[in-house]
Amino acid sequence: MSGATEEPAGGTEERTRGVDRMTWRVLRTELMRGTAPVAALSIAVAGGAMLLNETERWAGRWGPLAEYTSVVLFALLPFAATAGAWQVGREHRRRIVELLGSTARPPAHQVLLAWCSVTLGALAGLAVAWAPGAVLVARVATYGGKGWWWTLAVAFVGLAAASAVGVAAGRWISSRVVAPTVGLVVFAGVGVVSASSGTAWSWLTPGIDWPSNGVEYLETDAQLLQLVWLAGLTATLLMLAAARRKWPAVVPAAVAVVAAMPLVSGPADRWAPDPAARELVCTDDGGAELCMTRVNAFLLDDAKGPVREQLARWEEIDGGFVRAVDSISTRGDDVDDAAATEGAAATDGAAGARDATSSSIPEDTAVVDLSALISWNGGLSEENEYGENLATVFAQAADDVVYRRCDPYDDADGEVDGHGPSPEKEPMLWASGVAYHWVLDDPSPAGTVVEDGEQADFQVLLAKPEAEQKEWMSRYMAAARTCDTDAFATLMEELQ
Amino acid sequence: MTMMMLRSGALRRPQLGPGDRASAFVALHVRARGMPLLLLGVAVVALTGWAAADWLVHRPWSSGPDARLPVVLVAPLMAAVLASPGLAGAAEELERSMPARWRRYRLVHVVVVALVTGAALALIGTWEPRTYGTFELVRNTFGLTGLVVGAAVVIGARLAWLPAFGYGAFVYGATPRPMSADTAWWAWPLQPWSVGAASLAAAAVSAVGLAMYVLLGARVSRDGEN
Repeated sequence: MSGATEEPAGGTEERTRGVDRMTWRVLRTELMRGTAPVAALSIAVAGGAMLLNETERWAGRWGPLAEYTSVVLFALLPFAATAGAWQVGREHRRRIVELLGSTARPPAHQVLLAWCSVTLGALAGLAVAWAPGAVLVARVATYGGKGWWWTLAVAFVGLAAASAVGVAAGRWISSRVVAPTVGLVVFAGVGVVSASSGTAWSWLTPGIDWPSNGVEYLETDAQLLQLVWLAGLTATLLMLAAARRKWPAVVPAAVAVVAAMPLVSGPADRWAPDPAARELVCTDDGGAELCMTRVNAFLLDDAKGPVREQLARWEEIDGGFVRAVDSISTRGDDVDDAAATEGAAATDGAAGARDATSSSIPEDTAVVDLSALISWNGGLSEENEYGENLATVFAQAADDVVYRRCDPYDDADGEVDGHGPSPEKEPMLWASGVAYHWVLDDPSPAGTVVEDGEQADFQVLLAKPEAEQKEWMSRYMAAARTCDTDAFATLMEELQ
Repeated sequence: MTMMMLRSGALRRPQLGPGDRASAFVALHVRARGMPLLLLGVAVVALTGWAAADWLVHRPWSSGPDARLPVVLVAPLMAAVLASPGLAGAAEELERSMPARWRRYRLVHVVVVALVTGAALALIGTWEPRTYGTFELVRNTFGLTGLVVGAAVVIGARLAWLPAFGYGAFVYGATPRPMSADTAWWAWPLQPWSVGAASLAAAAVSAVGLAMYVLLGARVSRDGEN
């Protein structure tokens, strides 16, 4: 090529570099002096506070952390929308729309850079809110989780879409109060869609209403569709707000609609079981056995000592508990057992792994739910804010034997009677109340209502020698496993 | 703006007596502060709030009147936000140079706005009015309006919505559930009517905001805008 032809090419490159530099300079200015820092700060503080306020929902588990981030997103979307509207409404407030219109800078450039700056601020805020949780989880997590990164990606893209909604509203509506109005409308709109009593429409919002317990995950296909829907919505709004020619916005709008159709016409419940998370990891150091699901196995070291203390109370009780197992391993029995056992090769130092289905759990096993006792750092707390502790967990496990097998309220058909137990089952409930308090070794634990009669019967039991107390509990467990109403009546007569 | 139109003589009529002139001034004030638009906005908020409250109560698995909690916070907050631009004139400094009883006008302006808004929103919750219904809606209308007018004194009418908006978001996200009466002094917008301290806190916020606004008016920014 000759030098004569190279000259214009070099000039074009120079101009392109100049435009790039200018773009970065404008973006930096918008980031520093626009609403981006306010958006970042408010989302980081609000999101961080909400995540750290409910650590037991996600501590030690990657999936629930991402899901709870998605839950708190409902409160964060209005911040992003407000910041977007505020940023773009600046031209109206400062009455410089005509002035900016007289410059060579295209309107799309202004709007896109404003959206970029607000979105970067909002995303940085969410990242800052999520990061402390990630650090806490990374320290102790025993399961990498499945598909949670898609949940997190949807949350981030959802914030970008919310800021696009704000930018578009701020561009179209000239009012001082457009920013808070958009924020409140987004809050109300997202709330209505998400609270549509489990309809598929809630999939159009980037947040979910409640996290799983770690043994389920959101279907990846649905989340990919959510990403496409949100990205299409964002592109459509920005093109309508910024571009001189509006008709090309039909393309992203069509993409958004195509992605949304399977979401709203599909099932509302898109939680899929994660068999690998349900695999049991058990202690095998010779002491009483404690088995946790792989996703909750980070509790093993902290829990095995206190759990063994509780199990010691059941020694010399025929039919009493000799081992304990994580309750979430027994949920979701629709899980394919073959899949549950597939690849059950988890190892955890001194611990071994097994498959987990409720049918495989023997009668001498206490099914314990420790999720309410998970502390912020992934350990086991002695007592939570509602007064629950390991003793109440074991008392509940003993109670569950009766409730699961004997159905004292006759609500097996799913409809609670509402008139209390049938007369022949009253002794069953009475005895289970006494047994509950015996396990607790406390007649009036926090958060429970102890009837006077039940209290008196418990005191009668407590006044007996320990061997007789355990003999009474042995007969109670036998009656609970056979739902023997006559045996329950005999047990209660002995205490009255 | 009001003063400029009066001074220009465009609205002067030689036949008008003092009473007529006061009426004309009030009419101008109402128009200049965007009251018709505010009325329209409040009507939309009330209708939307009523529909939302009805839906929340009647949807499957609803907890009953308790489910109206978001409406009890958002509807009064929205109405207070809409009222914020009218807390200052387009040229506030210029207006104040006019020999008018501005403190009285400010008092009447805020009281009328709060009463009209409160009356409109009260209709949302007439069913079970003491459980996140009419009583809480009226309490929050007065409290949040007080917060907005107080903020107008400190940071100007343009951004007067900001503290109330931020406070509403904070309270909704940060108040521990189940709610305790101990939090009433700072989480009063979410408390049920039975918690008397919440009403006291709302009344205090309302009184302080109103007193500040009546005495000082909205802050005039350095560029003369509001």
